Amino acid sequence: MNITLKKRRSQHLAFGIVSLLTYSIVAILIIILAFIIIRGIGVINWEFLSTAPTDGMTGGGIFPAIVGTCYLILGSAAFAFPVGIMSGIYMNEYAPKGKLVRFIRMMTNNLSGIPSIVFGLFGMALFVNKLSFGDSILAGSLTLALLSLPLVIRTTEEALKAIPYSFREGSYALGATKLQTIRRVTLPMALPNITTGLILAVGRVSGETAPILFTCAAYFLPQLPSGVLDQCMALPYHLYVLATSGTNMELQRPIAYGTALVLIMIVLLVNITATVVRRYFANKVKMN
Amino acid sequence: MNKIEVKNVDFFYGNFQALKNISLDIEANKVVAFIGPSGCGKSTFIRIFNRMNDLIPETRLKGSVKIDGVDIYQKGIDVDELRKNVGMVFQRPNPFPKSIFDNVAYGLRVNGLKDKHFICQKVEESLKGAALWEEVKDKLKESAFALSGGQQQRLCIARALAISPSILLMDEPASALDPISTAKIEELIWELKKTYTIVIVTHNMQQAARVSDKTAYFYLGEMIEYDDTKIIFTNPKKESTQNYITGRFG
Amino acid sequence: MVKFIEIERSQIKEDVNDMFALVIKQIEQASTALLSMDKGIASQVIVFEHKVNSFELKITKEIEDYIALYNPVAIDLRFMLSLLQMTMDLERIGDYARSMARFVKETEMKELNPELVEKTQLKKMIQQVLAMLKTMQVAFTEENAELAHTIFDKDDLIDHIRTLSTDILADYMVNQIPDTSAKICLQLQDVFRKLERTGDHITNMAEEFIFYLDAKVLKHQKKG
Repeated sequence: MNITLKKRRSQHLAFGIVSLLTYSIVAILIIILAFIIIRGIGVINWEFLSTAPTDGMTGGGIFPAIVGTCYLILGSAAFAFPVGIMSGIYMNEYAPKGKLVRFIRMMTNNLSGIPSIVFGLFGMALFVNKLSFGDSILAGSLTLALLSLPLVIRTTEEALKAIPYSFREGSYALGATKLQTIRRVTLPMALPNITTGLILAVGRVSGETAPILFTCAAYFLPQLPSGVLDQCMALPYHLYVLATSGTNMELQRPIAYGTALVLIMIVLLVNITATVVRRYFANKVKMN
Repeated sequence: MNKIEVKNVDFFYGNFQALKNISLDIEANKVVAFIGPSGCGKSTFIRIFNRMNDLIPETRLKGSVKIDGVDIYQKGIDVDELRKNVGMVFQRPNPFPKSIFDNVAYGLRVNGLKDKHFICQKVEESLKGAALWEEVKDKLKESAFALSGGQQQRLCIARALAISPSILLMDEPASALDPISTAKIEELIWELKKTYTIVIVTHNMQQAARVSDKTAYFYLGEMIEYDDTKIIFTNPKKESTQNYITGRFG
Repeated sequence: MVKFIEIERSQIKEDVNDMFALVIKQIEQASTALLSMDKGIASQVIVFEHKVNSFELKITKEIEDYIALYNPVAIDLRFMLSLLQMTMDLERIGDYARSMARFVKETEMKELNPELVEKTQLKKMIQQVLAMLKTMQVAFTEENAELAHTIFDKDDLIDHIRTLSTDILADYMVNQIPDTSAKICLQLQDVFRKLERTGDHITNMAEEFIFYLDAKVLKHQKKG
């Protein structure tokens, strides 16, 4: 066998393995989705989406959990976005390049590596007990905010870093201050990328169970929360409850799949929105 | 009095001395070109006039730089005010991702002007000054990125003119443009010198020859020769200058 | 071409045109001085020769700057090269005017022998030279190649008159006719030679100008 042929064969082999692995990832995703859809689609109807659970979780819907998850998303966004974006701006635009920034960046990265259950315990210790927020939407949101902060900071920083220096120079040269430059030039240009990061953070937050386990989530609450210091139900936790405890596991199972489907749909929707928003902004702020 | 007076300027990036003991005067309403091989310090030097080098950490300057008789490096100088008086155009056209109108209005707005009528008037005036008005007057609301490279560069010139500077700095303003756009920019420079004092850095010697009244040749951080452009290009005093402009360099 | 370079170009052309006008005047004055033996006019011509020279220096410098600064190519380069050569031609023609004037100024002769003037067709020759110069100037200002082409034929007459004049002047020298000493005849011979050379320089200018307009090299060829 000559060398060319040998080379070509190993080339084909490597190619085959690489593409097989890639396709298998897609296949796994499709299998999970199909599994959930097939088992969960049966229970999805308007009533399921709009009523509270009844009969010891064996009947009714998941409305309070959907609402609760939405509250938690909004709550965590309200804390994480401003703090995260501003930190990102500080790190990329203001902080003198050097050891300090490198240290902060390393710490932020470490923060994102901490297991989410640790965030949950920390949230319980700080917000629930120390600050006496109790088990509440406030405590849960703050804990989730901590969890998503590293992602927000990093995406903001990366988005700003991607803006060529020449645009800032152009602005300074016209007598603009640093703040004006950031507000009128840099930030608008970085917005598509920042938005994508924010939406992905939301996606992450909406699926987390552990951080809200000790800080916010209610096992069962037929009524909707009336304020930020109320407990609330949340989809991931509700799913966990349905799958692990309850009065009748057999009857709960289809509801659990239905809940899982709704949760997956929300996360998927968020990710698709991220893509669309990114495209929209990217067209609007087209770089030359 | 000369518009710009530079005396014994040394400039450092950290420990590296980028400019060595440079002194030169620039008269008002003249075009002065800085030429020299890459890394000779000409781009650093032009950025001294609007203190653009301040943005780079660990830089320092010795000596005095006076504009209209005022030392721009003395304490208490408002750098943003200085930059309003000393406009700058960069190597690559860098319009903001905004409409054509907003690009030109940018400098006015960041300087606190709100009067719509005045801004409109000034935008039109500046675009006319940059010989771009006729090409864009019907699409002021369109994105600046829709313009060609040459038009974008003239837009950047218009943007600089809008804040009524008296000096225009141009750092290789045509190096990213095709010959036709380059010719337009050069013609524009010739028109603009009636109103502004222009300092231009260029890699293109012919460009320096075409547009400038005076030329300074830089090499390794030193200003080798500074004279009327006609003299530099017909009868330079220094051999180094002669070697550079005749292409015998290195 | 960029507007400001265009302006520079027409400025140089205007200067050459001014020099042209001055040189025509010099030849005219020198001829008047010669035919009337007017020493006053002759002195004036000699004084004005300096102006012709400084014109030449100025235009040469302008062309040098133009080439160094604007790197002209093709038609622009040919234009500059032709201007340079034409300036040199004009300067030489200016020199001839001066030497004619100097002859008038330095000779003891009160007037030219009318019979001699008649026989040698001196007036006709002068007229022809002036006509050529003026035609050339029009061709130059209008950038008219056709007109420049007409110069070549006119030069033939000048050459012809000059050839004849040599014999006639030789006759006068041999026959020792009063008022026409051998010295004067030789000096007159020189005047004819200068006029003939003037014609040659005008022909050169026409050639150079046609080179600029049509990029055709006509030098050292039979003119059609």
